[in-house]
Amino acid sequence: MLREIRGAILAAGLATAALAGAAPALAQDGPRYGGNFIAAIAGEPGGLNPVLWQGAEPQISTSGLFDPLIMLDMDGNPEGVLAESWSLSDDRRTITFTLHDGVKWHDGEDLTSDDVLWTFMGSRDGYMPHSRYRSTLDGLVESYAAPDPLTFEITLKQPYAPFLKVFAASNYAMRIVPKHVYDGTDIQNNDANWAPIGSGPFKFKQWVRGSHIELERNEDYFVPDLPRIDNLIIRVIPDETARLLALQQGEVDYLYYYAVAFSAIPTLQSDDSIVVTNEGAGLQGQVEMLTFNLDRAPFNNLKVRQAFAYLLDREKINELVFFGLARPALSNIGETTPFSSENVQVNYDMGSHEANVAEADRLLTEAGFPREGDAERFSVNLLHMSGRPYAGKVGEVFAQSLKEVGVNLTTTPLDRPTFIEMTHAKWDFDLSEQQFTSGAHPYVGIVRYLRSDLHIAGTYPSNHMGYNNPEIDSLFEASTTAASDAEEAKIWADAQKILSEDLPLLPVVEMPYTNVYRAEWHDVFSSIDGVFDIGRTVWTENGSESR
Amino acid sequence: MSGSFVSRLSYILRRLAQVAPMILAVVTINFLLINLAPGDPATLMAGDFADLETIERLREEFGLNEPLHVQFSSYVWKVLNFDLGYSYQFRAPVLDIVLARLPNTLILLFFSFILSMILGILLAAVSARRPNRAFDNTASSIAMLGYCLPMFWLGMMLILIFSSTLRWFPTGGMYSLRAPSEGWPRMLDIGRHLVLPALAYAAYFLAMAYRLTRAKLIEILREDYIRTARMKGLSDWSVIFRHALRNALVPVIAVMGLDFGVMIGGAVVVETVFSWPGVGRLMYESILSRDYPLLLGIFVIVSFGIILVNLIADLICAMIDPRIAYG
Repeated sequence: MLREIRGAILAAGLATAALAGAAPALAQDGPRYGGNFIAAIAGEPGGLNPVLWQGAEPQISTSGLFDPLIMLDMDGNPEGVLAESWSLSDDRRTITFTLHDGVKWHDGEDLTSDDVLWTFMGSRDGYMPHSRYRSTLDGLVESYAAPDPLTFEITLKQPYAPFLKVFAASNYAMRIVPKHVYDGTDIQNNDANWAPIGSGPFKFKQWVRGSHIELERNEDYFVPDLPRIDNLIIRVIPDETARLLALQQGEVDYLYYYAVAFSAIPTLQSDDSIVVTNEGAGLQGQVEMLTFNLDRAPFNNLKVRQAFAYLLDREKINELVFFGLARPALSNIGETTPFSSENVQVNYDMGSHEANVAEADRLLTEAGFPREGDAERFSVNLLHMSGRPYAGKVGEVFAQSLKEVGVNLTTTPLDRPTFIEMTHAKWDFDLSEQQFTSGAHPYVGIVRYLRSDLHIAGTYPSNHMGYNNPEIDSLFEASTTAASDAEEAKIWADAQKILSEDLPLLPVVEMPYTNVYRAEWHDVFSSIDGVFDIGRTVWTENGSESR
Repeated sequence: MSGSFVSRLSYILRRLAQVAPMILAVVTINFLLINLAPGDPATLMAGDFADLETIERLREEFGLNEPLHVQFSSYVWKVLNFDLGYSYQFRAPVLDIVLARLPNTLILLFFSFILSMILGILLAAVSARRPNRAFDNTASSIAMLGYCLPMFWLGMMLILIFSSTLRWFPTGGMYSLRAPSEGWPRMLDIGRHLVLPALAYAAYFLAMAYRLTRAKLIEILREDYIRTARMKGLSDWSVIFRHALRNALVPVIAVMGLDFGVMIGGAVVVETVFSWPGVGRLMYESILSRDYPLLLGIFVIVSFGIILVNLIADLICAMIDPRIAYG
């Protein structure tokens, strides 16, 4: 009885505390209007055509200007933007989108399915290629059609269940551009690439080269109540420390995860004026991995790769390099990507550090690298990309473990172009540290660097390891025709198991996605992967109650 | 007088005639250096999900498939026609891109240069009047620091002290974006943004101007004509400013002119730390993206600037010291 009363008192206390905690939020509920939301980016985009320029900086600068047909909501389900509704045909091959009526381009022209068709055909026919969409989804499509001004159809070569989800993911989504502005012109050099005409919640105002890009509220936006802010400003701040200071100072409101150093996260977390969150960064699956050159000794020998697997201490690397913020990863399919599973692979762990060292020692001897006393067995080099705050540190920590078995690991930092050339064009490396995202689906995320026919010099990313296993190739193929989620899950589980047996690469950690913004802002994200689409719903406590 | 004018004019023309071969040398050396550096611009332009066809199309579009000597001769021909080519990254004429950013760098350079020259020379004059005394020792030590401190570190420290802690100045950028302004308020706004980068920038050159002027002044103040001036009963300051400084400045201006190239290097650092939208940062970005035409274009324009500044420095020297002949 006494315990129950105590429990009740405790519960009441907790409830009061919760209410007290919720009080400030209640005081400023509901969206408010006005204000400038300022996001900082590290480098300037080349241009503001959302199809021609891909990557973080162009995406963050153009997402407010151009709408896609559909996007993913905060739970990861497709949600209409330009499309009011959509339906799947009985044979599950044709998706029919019905567009919102009365949507206008910023210059007053009507947006119709003709614009949509022209944009998709631009990628297919190569007059305006969207590199991510073209290399992943376009191959699954048989035809595009616009039977009437408000209807757009996509017919797939064969039914493919995850199509819509990947199609809606922000990295692949085709943002529709105006046909009347581009058609018949030199598209690559059209002035609209730098002073764009879109249909989104924001209109282009000005681009002060090297300084900032300013977008203003589209008063005629077809979604009522959106956007809430007056201006969305993208400011270029190349230096990492300067970005952080600008955020703390209130000169900038938002930094996406690339733009924040891990070392700064603990400080930011203790700052009440700043929100640190992984919201908006779903479906990224950015995995830091060590890839082997399988065409070259000693890594053409599976036993050597296994020995390396036994010695890779992911926990220690996470602690020392990523401040404990990352997630040790056994699979190269990230946690937020569908079909990710951490328990289907062979785990190279004998239970203790000593046992792992002994096992690695044994494997290396069997592989033909016996050790005499404390002598060095062999020396290998790890190439990594310079410029990142943690650059080279993964290798340094790993080198300590490898030293115990007489393997000397040296590391070489290279700037991005040189790094890509050495690892992906010349294939001149022993080990390389890569970061690939598994994205919205493993088919678009991991196949691109593992399938045997993608061992192509000069494309990035590609199968630079020289990995070749027909079994994996056929599993990748089979995944596109899987009849059900369960069947597809089995295929990806099998693939992950084979990868952990073949060891073409060692996943190390999945990167942390810590977006940070100033606490007076709310509803910064409107999509599960909306890290670069931040102007749509955001509002500030300092705004006014009505327009 | 007219003879002097003619000789001056012919001197200027002869110096300008040297510009073309120098620019050609700059273009040749840099073109080869850049093309020898590893890294394929087409792969970088195409992004992380590119297919081979896209990469090939970009190579075709930007003439990267052509043999090196064809690329080179077509580039030189264009430069001779004042066409610096097309930026890969921005897909716009290089000249337009650089000219849009150039005023920002010039503002920064101009203020830092004036600041460092005036302050450096004044401090040197005070120091040289009584060398090795308290003022001179303090000023010399500080100048030594300014000379040694890495520019990016000094920049960071200035931000930490004057913007993060004291909140007197913004952390970077050129404009306040929270409340944009027009006209005079905008000029003031830019001025406020200019203070810290100009200080970080000026420190090195101030130290240099100070050390050069001080050494030369101390040497000159021992000369006979200075003793004569003193014996005429002129004050210390009058002797220093009217008689000694004039002669001391000749080498200072010549060296500062030569150092203009170093200043451009400094611009890369300061503009990056302070997010200043100038040419220095553009150069840094163009290296990272292997934007060859842009990088080469910046080199050409900067080399031209360096040659021009040195010419001006020579002319100023000759104005200060009439003994310098236009040889």
